[in-house]
Amino acid sequence: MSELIVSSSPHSKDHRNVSAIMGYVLIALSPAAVGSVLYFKLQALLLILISILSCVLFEFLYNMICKRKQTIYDCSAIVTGVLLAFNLPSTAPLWLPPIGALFAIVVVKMLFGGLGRNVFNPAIAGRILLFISFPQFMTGCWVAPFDSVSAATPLAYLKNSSGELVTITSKFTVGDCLLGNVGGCLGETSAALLLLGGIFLLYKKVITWHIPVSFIGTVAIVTLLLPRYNDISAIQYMLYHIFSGGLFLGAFFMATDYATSPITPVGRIIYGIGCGLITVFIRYFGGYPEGVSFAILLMNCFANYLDKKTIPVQFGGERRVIWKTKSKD
Amino acid sequence: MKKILGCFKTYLFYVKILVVVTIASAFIPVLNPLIAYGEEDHHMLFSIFADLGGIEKYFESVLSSFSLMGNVLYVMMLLFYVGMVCYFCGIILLLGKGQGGKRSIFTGSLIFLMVYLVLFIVYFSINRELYQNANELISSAADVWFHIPPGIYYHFILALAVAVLSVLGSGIDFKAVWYGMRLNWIHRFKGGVHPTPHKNTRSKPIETLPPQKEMIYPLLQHIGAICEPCVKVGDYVRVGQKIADTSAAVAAPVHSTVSGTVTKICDWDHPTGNRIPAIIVENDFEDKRAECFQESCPDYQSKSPEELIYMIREAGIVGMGGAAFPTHIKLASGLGRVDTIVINAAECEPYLSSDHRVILESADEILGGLEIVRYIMGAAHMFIGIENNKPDAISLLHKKLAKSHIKVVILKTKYPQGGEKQLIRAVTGRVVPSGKLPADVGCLVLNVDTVIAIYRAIVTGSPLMRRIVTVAGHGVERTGNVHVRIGTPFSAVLEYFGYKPSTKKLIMGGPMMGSAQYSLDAPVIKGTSGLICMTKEQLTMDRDVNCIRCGSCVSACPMNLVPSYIAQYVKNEQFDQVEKLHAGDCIECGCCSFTCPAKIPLIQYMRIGKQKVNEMKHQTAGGNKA
Repeated sequence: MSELIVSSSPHSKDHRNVSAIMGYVLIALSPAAVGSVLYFKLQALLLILISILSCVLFEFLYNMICKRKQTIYDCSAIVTGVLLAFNLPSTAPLWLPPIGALFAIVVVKMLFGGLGRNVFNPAIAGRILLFISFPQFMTGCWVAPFDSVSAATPLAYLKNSSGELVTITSKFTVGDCLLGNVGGCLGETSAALLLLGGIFLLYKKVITWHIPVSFIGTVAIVTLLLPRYNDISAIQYMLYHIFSGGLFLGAFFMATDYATSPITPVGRIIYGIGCGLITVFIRYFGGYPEGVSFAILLMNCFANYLDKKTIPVQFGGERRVIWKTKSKD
Repeated sequence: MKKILGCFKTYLFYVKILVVVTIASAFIPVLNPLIAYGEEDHHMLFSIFADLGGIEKYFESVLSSFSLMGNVLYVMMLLFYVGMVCYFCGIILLLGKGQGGKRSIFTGSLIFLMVYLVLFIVYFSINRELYQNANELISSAADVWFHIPPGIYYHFILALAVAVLSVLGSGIDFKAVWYGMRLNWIHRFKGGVHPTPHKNTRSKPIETLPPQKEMIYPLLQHIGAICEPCVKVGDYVRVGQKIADTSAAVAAPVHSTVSGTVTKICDWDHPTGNRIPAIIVENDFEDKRAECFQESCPDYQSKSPEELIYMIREAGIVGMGGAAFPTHIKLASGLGRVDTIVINAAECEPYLSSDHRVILESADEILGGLEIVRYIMGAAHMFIGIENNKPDAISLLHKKLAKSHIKVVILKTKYPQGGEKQLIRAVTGRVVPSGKLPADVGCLVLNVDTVIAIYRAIVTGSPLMRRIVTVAGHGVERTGNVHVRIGTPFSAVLEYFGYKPSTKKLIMGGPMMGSAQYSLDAPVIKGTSGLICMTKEQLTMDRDVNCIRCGSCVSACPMNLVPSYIAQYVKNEQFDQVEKLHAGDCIECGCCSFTCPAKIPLIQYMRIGKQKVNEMKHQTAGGNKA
């Protein structure tokens, strides 16, 4: 008779593990990746591949040099690589992604203890490093898809349209923003393809609705209320803000990054609202046309704190008193 | 059965035909206004009127959000293609006998319904505006309807037919669904997980295992104190004779289930993992009955509730769900406080089907037992909570309870639906406060099998002697449900079902909360609801990695706790923080461990935390007294 294994319950577990989750994220990113290759041709493909390869390579080397257990099999480096590439303009030189990957993987992720221990989203930190260090490559040389003529992003039009004659409506329709027929980073041009991936993640329960809905909802409400300089209607202004720039990429794929977002439902909603507010304020008042990545990076700092302040009330527990009424005595 | 199958096939056949017709006609411009005029002008809908001259300008003045409408149509266009993809995938899957084809087609039809409904509303509102403004195009009220392109009606009806037929073809019991929805919309518990059910044994009738030569009666078969033997080695015992009892409050006596001689009283392997004193009886296969069978009282209403509760205690009845809490204490503590009795027939653990078979095979005894419990407790409301994956049991109970005051509540199939607090929440909507018992909110929860045991104890005088055990898993040659006398060793039960030595893990109870066994000599006790033999392939033995903070334990926890933080604090031995996070409320259902993608054994950390928190509470309570 064979030896029986004795262990604690539960004896059956869900088959979903970390690499399966990362696999779902990759599947969800694939429509946007295919879209970017269609829009920006070979350059996009090369950027994505180089970015993935360098991320995996740096994680592999770090683990080898530090004599740690090899962690590249959890596929999180691939996800970081794809997201980093999605944040690059199609004109970026091919040596740019490895620099971002080095910072993202080694400094932001592995030095903090690997996946799950990192405070900041690696892909966003990598993007911001490149953004600040190489502004000549990261901004100002956008090209439109298909015809490769230089064009500004919709958000740049929204920003500048106060003084200039060119209004955004003459350049792009909201439908163009939705389908991705505008200038922009590799992955963020097509809101519809990103939405498709996001819906897949929601359907597979990889992410919850809290962060995307509160993030995009906040951006929508605030942009509806902001005063406008040009002739477009409030709803149109809102739609341009929602469908252009990195909002969908940020809201579905980067703000929902597990390690750097809160785990409680209320915490996630507050986190999403915070991301939305900072995004709109940077877009409206700040020096940059785009603020999604800065917003997420800033809110990453608060993730742990939000968790601690929004621990849910246990089943059958007493409701937490938020506003203390005066006691009777 | 054949008739139903035939029906099913024809429904699917029509669905296939309609889907093919939809796909074929989707790109014919006359039949589909969405793609008809899309190429020249992206406001495709409005250009149908373009040749009428200047009318677009008119629309802009009528509808201020003209360009928004254009964007709505863009979205509809995208959705239309999504629906087409659904249909394509669905028809390929259906033809190739793949999984998920019906669902894909159903999704597609819903998308089409939405798209064409929106198109219809857009056209209708424009036509009405035109009519109200006395435009010459829409001269009569009927034109408001007639000036909508026929393609919209055509596709709408097609999609509606596909949706209805595919729902009809899926064989859903609408009555059950409607009943379950009505209750579940209002009352449900948060969290929970959906393990693969593996309930293949539910269609297998209960077999009977003959008693063995050597029967083992551990003196602890319940939660509480160990009993004292009241027989000596060499004594002759009869079927149903009490062989161990104690004066401790929380305990239930143990009875012999065969007649024969007591050969040994010694420590024996116990399913909980310890070695506990047991009485071993050698069976003489004569089944001589003890005198307790004469004490039956079918006219139980002549006795007082207290007397009946004493009878239940003497019959050694414990909760048959698995936890084995003595039933008489539960009843006695609820006397006068309970107004609602909830019968737990959820059986949410995977693999197990013993309660399901019991409902199907002894429904009358359940009803009799319910009347007794109702008499004892004087309760006004009675509910039977049952998961919607047992349609045959539900319809049987519906039939039996048609004119009764007992309500059958159909619950969503979800683990841990059978947890006491979760069941009360789902069935009655009441929330048991943290640290309180169900009786504090006027509820009493009993397992179905416990109710049968009560019925037999009162009406036939028989103590608790049998147990229905589900035997399942890849480690046995055939699976099934078996009627076992309590005290039969596991080895006898498993040999009856063809035990394979490839079994790597033997679980008593369900895989979510059951305990792994180290010995086949341990006997079937009162709480043995199942014996699951798992082979290597069925086991998931992954190493744990860093917590990735995905939060799935938080959304799975039915008690609304934060397992990942509790585990971290337990690792760091910060037990004051653990207490602040209410680890003491954990019901140890295992949902957090089940769902964790990093494979962290969260439930073990939770148990440690819970134990430490309870110890701390005891210490402070003791300190206050001193």
